[in-house]
Parts: sequence; structure tokens; C-alpha cells
Amino acid sequence: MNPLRCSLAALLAVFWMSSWALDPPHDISNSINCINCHTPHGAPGGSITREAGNPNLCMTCHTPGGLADNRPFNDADQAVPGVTGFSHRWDSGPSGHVERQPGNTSSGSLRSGGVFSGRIENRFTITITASGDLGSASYSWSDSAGNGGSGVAGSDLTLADGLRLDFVDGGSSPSFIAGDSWILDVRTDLRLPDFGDPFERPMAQRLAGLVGLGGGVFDTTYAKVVCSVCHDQHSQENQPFDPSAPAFLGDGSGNGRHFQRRDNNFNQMCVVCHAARNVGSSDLGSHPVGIPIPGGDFQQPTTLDLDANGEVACMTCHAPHYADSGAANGGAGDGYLLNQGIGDLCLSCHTLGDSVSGSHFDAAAGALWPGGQYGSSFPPHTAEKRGFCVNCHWPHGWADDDQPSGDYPRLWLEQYDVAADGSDPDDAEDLCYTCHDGTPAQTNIRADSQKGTNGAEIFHHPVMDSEQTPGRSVECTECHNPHRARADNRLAGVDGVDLAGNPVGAGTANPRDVVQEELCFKCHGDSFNSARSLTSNKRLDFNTSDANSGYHPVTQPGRGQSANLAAQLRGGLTTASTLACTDCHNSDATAATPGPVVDSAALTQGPHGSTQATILRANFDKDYLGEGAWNNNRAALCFLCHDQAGVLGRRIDDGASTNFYQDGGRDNLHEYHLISLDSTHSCLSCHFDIHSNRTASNTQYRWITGGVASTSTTPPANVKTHLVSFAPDVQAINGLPLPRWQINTDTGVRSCTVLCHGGEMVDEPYQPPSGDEPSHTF
Amino acid sequence: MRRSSAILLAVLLSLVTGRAFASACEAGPATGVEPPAVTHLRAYPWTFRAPTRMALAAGSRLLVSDPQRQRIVTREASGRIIDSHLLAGTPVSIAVDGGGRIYVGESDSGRVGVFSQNWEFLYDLGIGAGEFQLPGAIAVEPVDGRIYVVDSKSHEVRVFRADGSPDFSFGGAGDGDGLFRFPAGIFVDAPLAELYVVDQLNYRVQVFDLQGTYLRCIGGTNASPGSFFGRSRPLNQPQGVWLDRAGRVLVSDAADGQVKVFDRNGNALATIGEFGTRPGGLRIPMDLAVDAHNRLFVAAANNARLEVFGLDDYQDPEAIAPGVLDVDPAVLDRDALVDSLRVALELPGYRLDAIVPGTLQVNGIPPLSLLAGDADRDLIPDLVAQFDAAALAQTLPPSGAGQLNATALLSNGFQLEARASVLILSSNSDHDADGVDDVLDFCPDTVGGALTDADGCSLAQLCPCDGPAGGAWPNHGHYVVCTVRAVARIGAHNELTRAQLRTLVPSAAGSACGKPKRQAQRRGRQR
Repeated sequence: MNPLRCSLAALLAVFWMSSWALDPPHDISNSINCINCHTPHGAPGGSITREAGNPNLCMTCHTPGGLADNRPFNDADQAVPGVTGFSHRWDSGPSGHVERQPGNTSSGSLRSGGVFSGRIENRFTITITASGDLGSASYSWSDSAGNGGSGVAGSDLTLADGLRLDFVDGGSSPSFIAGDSWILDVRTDLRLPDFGDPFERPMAQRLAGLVGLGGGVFDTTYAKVVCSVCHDQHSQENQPFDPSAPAFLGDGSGNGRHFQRRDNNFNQMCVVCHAARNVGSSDLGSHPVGIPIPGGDFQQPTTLDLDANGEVACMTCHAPHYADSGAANGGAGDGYLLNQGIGDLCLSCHTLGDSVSGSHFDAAAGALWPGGQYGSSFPPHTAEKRGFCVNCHWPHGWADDDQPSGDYPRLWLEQYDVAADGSDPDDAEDLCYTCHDGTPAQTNIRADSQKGTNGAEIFHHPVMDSEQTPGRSVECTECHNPHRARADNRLAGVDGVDLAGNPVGAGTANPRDVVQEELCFKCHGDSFNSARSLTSNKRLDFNTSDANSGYHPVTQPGRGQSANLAAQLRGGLTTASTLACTDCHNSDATAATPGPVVDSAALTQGPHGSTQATILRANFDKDYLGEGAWNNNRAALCFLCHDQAGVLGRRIDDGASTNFYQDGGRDNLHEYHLISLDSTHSCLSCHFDIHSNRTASNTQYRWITGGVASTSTTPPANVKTHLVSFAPDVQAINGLPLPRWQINTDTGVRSCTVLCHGGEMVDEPYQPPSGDEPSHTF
Repeated sequence: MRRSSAILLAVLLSLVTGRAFASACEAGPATGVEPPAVTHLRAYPWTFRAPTRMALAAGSRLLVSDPQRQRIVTREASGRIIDSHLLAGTPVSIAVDGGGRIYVGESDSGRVGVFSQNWEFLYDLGIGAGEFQLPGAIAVEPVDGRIYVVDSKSHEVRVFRADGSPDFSFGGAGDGDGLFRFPAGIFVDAPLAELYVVDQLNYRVQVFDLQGTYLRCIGGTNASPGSFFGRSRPLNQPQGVWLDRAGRVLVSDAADGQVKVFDRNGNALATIGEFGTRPGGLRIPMDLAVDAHNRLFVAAANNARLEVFGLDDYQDPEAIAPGVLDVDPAVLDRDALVDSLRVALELPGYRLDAIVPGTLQVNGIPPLSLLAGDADRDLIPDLVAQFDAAALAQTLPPSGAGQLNATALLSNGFQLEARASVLILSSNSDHDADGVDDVLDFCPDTVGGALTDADGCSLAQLCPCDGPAGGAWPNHGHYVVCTVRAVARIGAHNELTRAQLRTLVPSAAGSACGKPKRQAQRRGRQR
């Protein structure tokens, strides 16, 4: 070259240079200039750089003890998501990254290409089975899902799921030694930057491993993302996400702006490769980005940054470097590149859950995903994640095993029914059942939910879609709020209907914790299923007005206050006690202990299902029509709380304790009717409306008060009727319209006038000799 | 395309103006030393993350700094890891002097601390924290004990006396003779009293006398216009420097992934290694050292390992492959001993099938079963071995800290060694080490090694010279009688011979225990 022409050209270059300076800190202030990284001829790397391996060039200074000791990087920092690492990889892409396994001394090497088309991340292990070089060495491969294969080492081979393998001979032969292995880790939801898109083109051009095909077209099969894809090492002009970064004041300024290849403040570079996660709603299978923090159960994060529009961005939760997920894994990071620990991150914005007292959130006893049990492929979580949101949710979704092209809804790890019309496949509740099937949760609710066969009679709450009555649906979450349920109140956070018929609970105008029966009233109250037989409005059944003269004490203590009744009661119950619906309607597992159900974490409980029809704790024969010998199991349910000897003892000195007594006559009339006469077969014969005799339909009540007799076909207000109401097969006699039960509230003498089992009773009187009600009115 | 032209023109401009143009280093006459014969021996990964600087200590011990793990790892010539010392700061530079003292430079605090061989802290150089901006390398001159610290970010070499007080400094920012741009490695050539300092961003190694007077340089850039073309710049990102015993200057070049070999006068001789992860590959070689066996160790930070080469007629005493051992449970309760104890063994640098079957033992006991897998889910293969806990417990001390030593033979003839600590809990323990269990010891805290009776009481405890507990000896005779009885008990417990017993009593008799105070003191008393 003519030196004079060189000099002239060089002088002209002065003006070029001034308009294209290096920005700090990659500038002369740190003794850096062009020739540190570039050489005009014979450059082994791309872009006339000095070294093959763009990251290696960066790390000649960006290494501990190097010129950029304040921003060190090391290959060991690179993230293996879920395992270790605090930096985005610089050797990877949609075809993953390849790494030698310990002890691999083959001089040959392996590279991966293509685009992984699987929906779930995978790890392939490629092992040399016979030593040799390209064309002679053989290999076998296996992956995390249990697939496998084999072949002969060659160039550009097909592996699986869109991936390609390329073996490259080394300096010594055989290049590949038997027993040596490599792993290939691939992630899902990835693509390469697109040359055709103006935003992405500068990133695409910096991919490592491009093969020029001429005419500006490149083969990207073996392309990998490297430092310079996201970073422009010359210029600080592009806007970073970092809200504390200084402004760009022109060439030669901008130290601290992270050398962005493209503007990264909105529409971040992340979404170029991670395009599948650039969604505005979780319905599309990933946590939304580009949206503001909503109202409701959300709060503005105090330690996480939103973008300059106040919207959630990838970098709100993630950072590409020095992100150790809250010092996870002893500071080595967990590879998720989070700005906070994975247990705290969600709670920065999401306030829906009771992370303080909620059972699922408990660090010692809370939810820990055990791995999919009902189809989900999501692997078990490690123990330190107990109580975290990620035991049910995965922020970027998980492939639905039934429809692998999509994800489970609501970013769940498993299917849970969302369609109220029952249109989801019948693996609903699988999300809950994964734990609540006896392992790891202590009790097996799933088994209860499948007991018996629902038909004319109900044995389990119909949570499966195929069992729902059209127009009605019930799911686990109608009764349980997984985000708020506590050990001391498993119904925290749900809504119901109060005694007055008004909505109560979470999300209503009266947002207090519901009492159990209020929850049941939601479906078994005003909206009870009248299409089924023998159902009634339980909200009215248990109303507390004076008109309700006989009922099981759920909403208030019962009318019966007699000593005889008190003596019958078991399990600590008194005539002042109230019951819960679940003291009768519960799993058969609760029948071992008499009295009301005593809560314990190890007890399978709840009205989920029972071997006894109508989800009862114990057997209760409703067969009041047939014949057959009495055995006590026929009223096992009743005898859980009403002492058997009290109800069925022959005489008072036999242990009988009941008001249904004829002293000097038939003695205990319960015993007489059920056992001696061998006639009636069920308590229901006379106590047909067992919740409350408000619904009595086959009884004429007659009461004599102050000498004045009154009758009614509904129980009288203010007169105790002891839950007496006759079953439909009991007949009237003596010209009365309905079988009659009568009480003289002054004397306490009761009588029945019925035609029952062929037997005629006309004014059959009875009255207990002792222990009777202190008053027959209230 | 315009940008490429701009680069080219800028480069030319730099050439013309001399800007960013490190000084030339004219090579002197060839010294006649031959290039080395190089044999790649092995990669040595241990558990390094980013091995950065190295120092050679007596007996070819190698100390390696691993800043990201905040550790200095010491390995012996055999390959055995004898220490992995955790520091509070981020250690970058390391040096060892003739007396075995260790010098550590930290990048976060900017201090250089001096430690004894056993890592007891002795003192800091200068003011300690903040004395340096980035103490990138340290060398100790063996005759006067002066300490040369390269402060990379202030572009100078600071010299301290052996007591840690500052002596002088030399250097400064620039590209002329004796000036630096980000100096890195340093080496003292004691026989010729010369100092080699890597001048990284001037692409050269400068040579000084021990007073800091510039002598010559190696590498650099040729002054001719053609020097930027091709790859004729000998050094691109030099980091570490070492002189071997043949008088060759070895420089690790982080950009090129090679060790470059020159003679003392700067004539290029050879290159060792190549960029890559393959055997013999180097990525970001930060430092190097040649031990007494003529083995070249290169700290390749981005390969997370030391690459080992043999030079010329080398010896290779490597015989140990250090492994990593984890034990479960890590606490053994002798009063509630589990049935089995599992250890997980990881073997950096080796395939697990390199372990010769049947040779694995822990504390001399073979395992009941072996299972290869990844028990700790760190994606590094490990071997889980199950042992009979009772048998292992017999090899451990009765209580306190115990050691599990795993050994095995590898297929290359090396011995695998790995260690793990266990804590043994026992209600049957003997805290004062007098041979009597604490539960039975009536006299705890028996002073070191004294013979005791069956109750754990020594003569001094049974018959204290000052008098029995709560009082004084009525007279000397009482003391002697106590002694006689105590000796009998001790003799019975220890099965001493009469001859041995006989020595204990006379010394008591001859003592002043129980005797009244000196006559002189009594003179002052009224009788």
C-alpha cells in the first residue's frame, strides 16, 4: 500500500472515527481501543475479532482478576434452570447447549443444531459406544423421557424432536473414545432472531455459527446465541431496562447502560428468542408481560422494577446476569435467573393468597408437588420449595398431557376443571388429587370422592363433570379456597349464603369467614336440587324462628331440653350444643369415634364421599317400607350421638333414657316398635323429616294448651314436637285426614293416632315417668 | 460495510498517530535455549470454578486461587488436595515465600493479607483494605523477602519490605519503557535478580531489576506499519508469566488460549496448548507455574481446571485423584445408630467407570452396595455407596468430629481419595480424656493425661495439695495418708506395678502439701 495514500486515507478517517466512537467503559479510559479486539487480517473469529468464540473474547477481560474484574463472567455461571447458575447462557439457543461429561477425554467434539420442537425441556445423553473417528465411531443416546437411539458418528445427523447432531474430529485419533459422553440440554419455547425483522436483524447477524450462503442469506442450523447478540460492545446508545441507568448524552457517554444491542426498555430483546412467552394473558400459557399491575388481589412491587410504562416485563422477574434467585443454592443460583427467591417473587405482586396462615403456604407442612400422578409430566419439586406458589403453578405454563400443543389453564401443573358446563375432559380435580389422594397429603380425599356409585342415591359429592346435574356444578373450589384455607379453618376464603338468605363470605358485601352451614346453604339452600326426591331447602329447615319447632341443632341449640335427651347424648354433646352439617354428612372414616367429629389432620373427613348413601358417617336405613329384623346397624348414624342403650333400653332401669316411654305399659316404645314388634324398620318411620319437621307432609299436629286444642298439618310454633313427622307409609285412621301426633302441653301426655303396619293406634298415650322436658313450649 | 472500512481506517490512523500503539520490543540475540518437548499429561478439574492465579510452595505444592468460590486450594505434587481454605474476601492473587508464609491479594477489599503456613493471619500489607485498587499478582523475592505486588488498576508495581511496610513503587500508566497498562502476572528470577511483569494492554512482558529499573521487554508490537496485519503481535492478552529452569519465559495468553514460550531475550520459541475444551485445550489461561518435576500447570479459568503438561524430561509423581464425598446421615448418634450410612462420591475429571470394581472402601470397610446415578441432582454423575453403619462407627472416635476417608483404585493406576466429616454423638463420652466415661466420671476435667482411679479421679483431684474440698489439711500427715489411699485406688484401676506405685507416694511425702506456712510468716503471730 502506498504510505502516502495510507496517510491521506487515515486523515480522512479522523472524521469517521469521531462519528463512531467507542462508548465507555470500552474506551480509552480503560486503555481499550479497536486493536484490543480486532485484527484486520487472519482473524479467527467473526467480525474480524481476535478469537474464535465471541464469549471467549469478552471473557479475556471479563474474568475474575481481569481488566473487568468488576463484571466477571465464567462459564460455570451459566444457568442450568432448576439446578444452578446465575447468568443467561452464552453458548446455547433453540438447539440447546452441549457439554462434556466428567472424564470425557475425546479430542473430537460435538455440536447441536436445529430447533427443539418438544414442549418439555429435555436432557439428552450421547455416549460413544465404539471408539473411532467420523464415520467409524458409534454412539447411543438417551433422554430424560426414556427415549433412545444409536448411530454412527457423522456430520449433521438427525437426533430427535427437530434437533441435529454434528460430530467433529479432533487432533488425535481416535477422536471419539468409547465410554465418553456429552449431554445436550434443550429448553422449550425458543426460536432464533429473524433476519427479516428490522428489530431482530442486528441480533440475528451476531449469532455464532452462522454459515453464509451468499446474497445475505445465512444457514442458522447450528447458530447459537452469544454475548454480542444482546450486547453491542461498541455503543451505549440503546436504552436499557435498568431504571437507574444514566442517560445517553452522545458518543463517548453512557457508562452503565449495559451496552444493549437493541432498545430493551419495552418490547425487550428477550421476547425475540422467547417469543412464545410474549403474551398478554395467562390464558395463552405463560405469565403475561406488557400489562400493568391490575387492581384487586395485586399490589405494586416494591423491590421489582416495572418498565417505564409501569408494566410487567420479563426483567421485572428475571435478570440475564448476576441473578441468583435470592442467593438460592448457596449463592450459586438455581438457574431461573430470578430477581428474588422463587418463593417470594410471586408474592411481590400477587396478594390473593394467605401466605402467612394458609395451609398450602406453610413452610413445614405446606404443599410440595410430588410429581405428576394423573398424567402431568411436571417433575417433583425439591424440598426447599415447600409452601411456594410453584407447587401448583408454573409461571410459564406446562404442557397439557392431554393436549400437548397447549398448556394447562391458569399456569397450573396439572389439569383442573375450569369449564362450568362440564366440557373439560374428566380428569378434573387432578390438580388437587395429586396431593390429596393419601400421599403426600395425609388423608385420601380422592378415594372418598369416588366412593359408591351416584345414582338414585348420592354416595359422594359429584365433582366429576360427568356426574354433574345439568345446570348445576360443584368443584373442589366451591367449598375450598386453596389460597386461603387454613388448618384452623379449611373453609376460609369461600362464600356462602347466610340464614337470612344473603350472600356472605369472600367477594360478597359481607366478607367475613363463613360458618360451615352457610357454605352448604349455597347449593342446598334456596337453590336446592328440587329435581331429586326427598330434598328440601336446608336454609329454611334450619331457620331460627319460633315456627321451627323440631330440628337437629345446627344453627341454634335444639328445642329438646329434657334430661332424658341429655342422658342419651354422646361425645360431649349436651342439649345446649349445636352440630355441623358434617357431624352427620361425613366420610365413613369418621364413624370410629362417637359424638360430633373431632378435627384432626390425620382423619379423613369432610362431606366428600362415604360408603354410606347420602354421604353419611354411618349406616342409616331409609328403608321404611319393607320388613326385616331389626339390628342396631340400621341406625348406626343416629347411635353415634344418641346412645343406643338410652334409645333402645327396655326399661329405665335397663338404661333406657327416652321420652318415648309408657311406664307400666310397653315401657320404652322405641324398643317396643323397633325390636319387640319386629315391625317398623327405620327411625324415619316417625322421624321422617330428619333435618327439621318444617317439611312434615304426612302429620297432623294437635296440641292442647290451657285446655284448648288446636290442630295443624305443620308443626306448631312454640310447641316442642321432638322431630316427630310420619313417613308416607303411615296412614291416618279414625277419619282424620293425616296420622296424628298430639301433645298436651299442660300435662305432658303425648299420643299417636295412626294406622301403621296394620296396627291401629287410637290416642295411644305415652309419657316418660321422669326426665321429661321442663316445659313443652318455648 | 462502512463500519469495516471505518475500523480499518481507524486502525491506520492509530498507526500513523502512534495512538494506542504499545511500544516495540526488540528481541535480543537468541540465548540458544531449545523449545521444550511438551507432553500433555492431564486435565485436573477438582471442584474449581475459575482457577485464577497460582503459587508454588516447597515440595511442589501448588496453591491456586478460585475467586468465585473465595478459596485458595492447595494440592500436593501427587495430586492430593490438602486444603481448600475459605476466605472472607475474594482472593485473586497468591504467593508463597521461602518460609512458607502465604500472601493473598483480594479484589473486593483491595488488601493483601499475609498468613502463616497454617492460615493464621499475621498482618496486612500497608493499611490493609484499600491499600491497592486491584492486587492482581504477587511475587516474593527470596533473598531479602521483599514483596512485589502488581496493582493492575493503578498500573504500577508496589514493593513492600518483609515486615509489610511500603518500600518503593515503580510503573505508572502509559506505554513507554517502565510504564504499564493493566499489569497482570509477575515472576521473580532470583538467580539473575530480574523481575518479569506482564504488561497486559501493552501486549508485552517487561523485565526489570529488583529495584524497578527497566531492562528490556518481550513481545510488544513491532514498530513497522506491517505489524498489525496478520497475527504477528506475539502476545494478545498476556496474563501469567513464569521462567522455567531452562531459562525459558512462558507467558499465558488468555485471548489465544495458549502458553507462549520465549527465551529471555524475547525470541519466540513455541506455543503450548490450544483454545478449546478438549484435552490440552485452554480457555482464559490466567496463570501458570512449573514445578520441580518440570510439570507445567496452567490455570484455565473458563475450563474450570488446571491443565498439566510435562516439559522436556519431566517426572510425573501424580498418583492421587481427589474426589468429593458427601455422607448421609452426617450426624451419627451412637445411642440410636441407623442401619446403614450412604456416601455419594463424585470424581471430577474421571468417568465413574474408572473406579476399579471392588477397590472402593471407606475407613477400610467395603460397601454393601453401589449405585451410579445423580443422587444430589446436581447433574454431575455420582456413585452412591451404602455401608454398614455399625462397622463404620467402630472406625470412628467415640464422640465428636470424625473423618470418613474413601479410597479406591482407578483404572489409570491412581488412588482415589475423598474425605468427609461426620459428627458422632454419644452419651458415652469422655470429655477429659482420662479413660473414664463422663457418665461414670466423678472428677470431670482431669488435667491432661493424669492417671486416675476407676472414678476418673487423679491423685491431684483426690488429694488436692491445698486441702480437701472446703478445708485445709490438718497436717502434712493427713495429706500423705490421703495420697497412700489414692495411689492404691489408682494403681488398682491402672494395674500399676508396686514399683510404679512406690514412686508416687514419696513425691507426696516430700512435698509441702499440708505443712504449715513458712516459719518467717509465723514469726509475726502471737502465740
